[in-house]
Amino acid sequence: MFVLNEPAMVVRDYLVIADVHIGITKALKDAGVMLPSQVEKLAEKINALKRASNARNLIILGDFKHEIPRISWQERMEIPQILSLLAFEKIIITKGNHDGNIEKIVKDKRVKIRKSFAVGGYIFTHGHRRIKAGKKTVVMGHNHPHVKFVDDIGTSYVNPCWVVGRSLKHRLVLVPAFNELCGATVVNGKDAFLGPIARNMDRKNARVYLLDGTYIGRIKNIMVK
Amino acid sequence: MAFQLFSEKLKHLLKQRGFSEPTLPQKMGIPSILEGKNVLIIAPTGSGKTEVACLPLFDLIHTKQLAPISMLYINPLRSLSRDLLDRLVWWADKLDLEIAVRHGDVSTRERAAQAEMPPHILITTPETLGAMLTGKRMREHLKNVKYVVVDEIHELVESKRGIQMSLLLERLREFAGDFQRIGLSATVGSPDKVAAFLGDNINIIRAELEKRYEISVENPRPGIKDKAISDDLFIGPETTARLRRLHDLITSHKSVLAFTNTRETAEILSSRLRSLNKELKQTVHHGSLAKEKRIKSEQEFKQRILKSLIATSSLELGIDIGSIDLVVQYLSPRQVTRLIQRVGRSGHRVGEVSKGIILSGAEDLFESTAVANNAMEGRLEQVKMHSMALDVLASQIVGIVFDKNQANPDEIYNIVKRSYPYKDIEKKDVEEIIKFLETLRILWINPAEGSYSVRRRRRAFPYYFENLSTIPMKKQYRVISIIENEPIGFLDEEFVAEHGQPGEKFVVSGRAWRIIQTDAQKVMVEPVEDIESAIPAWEGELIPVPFRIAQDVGKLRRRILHMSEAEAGEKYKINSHAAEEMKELMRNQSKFMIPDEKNFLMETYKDFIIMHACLGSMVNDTLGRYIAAILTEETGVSVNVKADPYRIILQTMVKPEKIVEILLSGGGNGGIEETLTRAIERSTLFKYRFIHVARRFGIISKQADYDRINMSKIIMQYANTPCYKETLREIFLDKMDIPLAETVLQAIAKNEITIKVMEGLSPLGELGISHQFGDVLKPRMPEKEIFNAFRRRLMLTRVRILCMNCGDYNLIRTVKDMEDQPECPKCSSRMIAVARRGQVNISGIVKKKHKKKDLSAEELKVFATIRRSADLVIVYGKKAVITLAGHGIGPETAARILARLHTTREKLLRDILEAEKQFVRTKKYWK
Repeated sequence: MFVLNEPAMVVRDYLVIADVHIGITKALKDAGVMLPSQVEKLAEKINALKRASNARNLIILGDFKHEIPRISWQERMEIPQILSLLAFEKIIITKGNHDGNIEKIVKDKRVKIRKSFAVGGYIFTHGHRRIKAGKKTVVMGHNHPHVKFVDDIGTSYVNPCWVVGRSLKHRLVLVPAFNELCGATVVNGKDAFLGPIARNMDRKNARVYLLDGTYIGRIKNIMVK
Repeated sequence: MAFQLFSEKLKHLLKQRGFSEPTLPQKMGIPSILEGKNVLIIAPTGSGKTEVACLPLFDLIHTKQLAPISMLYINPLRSLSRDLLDRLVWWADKLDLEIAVRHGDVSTRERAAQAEMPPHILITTPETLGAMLTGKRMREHLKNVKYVVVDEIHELVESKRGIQMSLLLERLREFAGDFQRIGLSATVGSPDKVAAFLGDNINIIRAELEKRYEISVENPRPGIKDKAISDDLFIGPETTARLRRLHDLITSHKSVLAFTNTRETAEILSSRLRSLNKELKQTVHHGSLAKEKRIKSEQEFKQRILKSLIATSSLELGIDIGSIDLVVQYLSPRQVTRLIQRVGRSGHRVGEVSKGIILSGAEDLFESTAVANNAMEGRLEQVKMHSMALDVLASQIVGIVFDKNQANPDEIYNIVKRSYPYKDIEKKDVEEIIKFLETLRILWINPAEGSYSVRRRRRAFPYYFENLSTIPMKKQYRVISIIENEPIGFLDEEFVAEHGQPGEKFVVSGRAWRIIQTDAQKVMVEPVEDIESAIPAWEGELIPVPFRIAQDVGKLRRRILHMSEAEAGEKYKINSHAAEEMKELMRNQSKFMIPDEKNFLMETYKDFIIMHACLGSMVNDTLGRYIAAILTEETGVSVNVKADPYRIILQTMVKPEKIVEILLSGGGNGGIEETLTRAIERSTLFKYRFIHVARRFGIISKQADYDRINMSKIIMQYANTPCYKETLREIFLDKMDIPLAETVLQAIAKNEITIKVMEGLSPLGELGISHQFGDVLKPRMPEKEIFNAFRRRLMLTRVRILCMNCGDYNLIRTVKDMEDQPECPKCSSRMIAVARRGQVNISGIVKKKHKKKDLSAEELKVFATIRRSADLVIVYGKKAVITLAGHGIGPETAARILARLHTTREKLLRDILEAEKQFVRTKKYWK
């Protein structure tokens, strides 16, 4: 289900990833850091996950692009480029808060842009808006969840993680960000969860897993300063 | 005689100026230069080296009527250019030669005029040469260059600036053809290397032989008067005694130059001297002062208005400050070369002796003595070169592409390889940089048949010009105490990068402080008492103490005990109080053991392990980081480590025997470098250095907004690129000595070096611990913290407990509260089963079974499972309960785990964690 050591999961024949943030290199360049284009690297990583999982379709849980509120020239170039490199039959993008007007630059026929998308007992969405989930398990991005550890000397470490919990009506899974370059929400600290869905979660009792499968515990038991 | 070789005109001018006898450097250097040889002239600062090079070259330009620009005079210090011009302009005028200065501060108009009407002689800096080569018209004039003089080459050879200049000269050679090269150097440890750095076929001329050094070491005895003064001045009686001695030395000499190792000490000394005697004319001179203030004090000192300057290395270079009759070094100079260059500032007349006194404290007496003795024997440190620096190479490759407009990799490779620091470079290294520059959109690769050519892209110009200066722009942070809301000092950027987190403690202005908050300009602090665990803020300013000096300190420790004070004073040139202090310290130390160059002492005190090893700053830093890296990898806990030239101090819970074991098994197989690479990559030092290297690659702009950047993530993106490799290379060269550390480990393995483990805190240990901690090494994954979280979670797991005998004892309990051997409180049976909390109906199944009723297939299965769990509890007690509480661990898996009969709880828990991971690998995580 969760892919070992990767921020990705597989549901039936769908590979699910979140928060790709194509075009983040432009934002970093504006902040003064030059990075080579991420497109080929990200595409290769996604395709490798496809080969390993035999998934035929791809679900991107929103924030496929980065720039808000406009579309940068870089995204105009790189979004079609990465889509052309991805070898899936169907690609579903559940639109995120960074994806304004993404329809305008996506011409690929395989791509469907939705608010949410259901498969079996799961409903996939970005998580910045409410959706009607019923009793289905909501799988969402948006938060870039990380867990923090502090050792005896006071040195701290922040690792990406999965968060699995419940809100009143349904189960909820927070998916770690696929792009390593974007920011983080520390789930066992003071950071507020982002979006109405995650905020309604029973946070204290939610469970935290590292990408290598280690179950760390419930958030209430692992809080750090 | 050398002057006879000149033209009649110059001979006449010499007479006019009253130059009758050449100085030694002139006598030795002028003939070779006139013969057209490449030469390196080694002579002390201020012995007229400039004239050695310039007089014959001016004469040649004059007699041969060469076209401008005929000669470049490269000096690393921009501020010296005017001085030089003033010195040379008279000669040039009389010989009808144009001479001019060109550097970054010269106005655009003046520079434009130079391009129009070039001078014969151009005084410039390495960076400005880099800029000139890209100018179309300047380049035309530079084609005429026949002579290049590199002044203060000893300063350049060890820095990235120098490496860049070496490449620049090769680029110049592409236009100008071969030119005569003349290097001017102060006394250095490896003249051969400096010569090779300058170019091929260099004649080395050592004109320093007549200069003699007379250096003594003093530790002034505090008197009764000093006690009273010390209370007034808020300094210890020891410091007061040194201060008073310095005062007396200044008043009893004509002109005294006093050197300190850090800016802070210079400031404190000067201010306290003022409190001691307001009439004494003295002031400070260091790099953080405004330029105008520095120039003013230099001039006043030269004119004898000031009797003394209290300076840092800012005054080591050849700034003309007139004649000095004494140089005082305040506290240990740490390196022989530095001491020689400093003391060499005194006694400038031919045949005069250079006189120096080291004022030393009790702690650094041994070191000062070792350095002074090595200096008098003329044993200087070897030159260390930044060979193969990849960032400098990158910007110069771009430069070559400018020069050629379009270049192929072979051309570039051939030019680079001519430069000595890159003599071992391979073509693939050059190509790797070219490709890297392409991914950074600085260069454009144009495929051609069988090869490719390289052109510049738009970014290339800003990139090249932003990086002409290889000197990192070091920002300073103001330190502000929140108690008084007043600035109390400054911190360097590197220090803030390494230690700037809230909660860190450091020493500045003689007190310990804790950081409350750090922002872009300032560090807010509050005072703390705990000076033991604070880091001295001047750490980064200190140059490393070499291996050989530390070894000599070891020998000295042993020998001093068997000498009388008079003998020691005579042999080592130390005053009697110094000899007394040294003997006293060793007498007290001998109650424990005297660690020397062959016998190490490892002592434990609180949670510190202090290993005394006389190996110098770099080897100890290397070994310290190596030990910490191994400990971190094995235990998953971060380890605090600090090294100084004589000790490695670790803050850790492991036994000293473990450290000995690591040292015994480490050497010989190249394992150190690999381990250190893994450790350094994760250090804050790496992060800081990476930023500077990345700037020189054009990856990070000078205006970068660090609040918006997560540096660790950026570094990950650049793993294994040239930028990453350069960062490692730079750190290894600047901070460590891996080959020597390997040799030491081999000696330990062969028992040529012994290590004795002891408890307690010896006098030498106490000296080491009174200033504190360096870098914290992080484990790659916080294994221990992850494990603790897991243990906590497992112990807090609630499970269903059921008595298999009566079936009435059925409730949910927390694992940690379970008895070691659970029993049913109702029927005292030990047949206690463990089940999932949700398995509500199991009590019914058990009772049904007892009543011999038929169970369904499903129920039979459940019953078998819980029966099996009860079997485990009977045998293993609470351990079985813990195991069964594991996520996805059924009785079968539990039985397998428990059968391993773990000796400790921790081992059991580790197996459970492994089994859990196994489970999630095969199942969904969250069901």
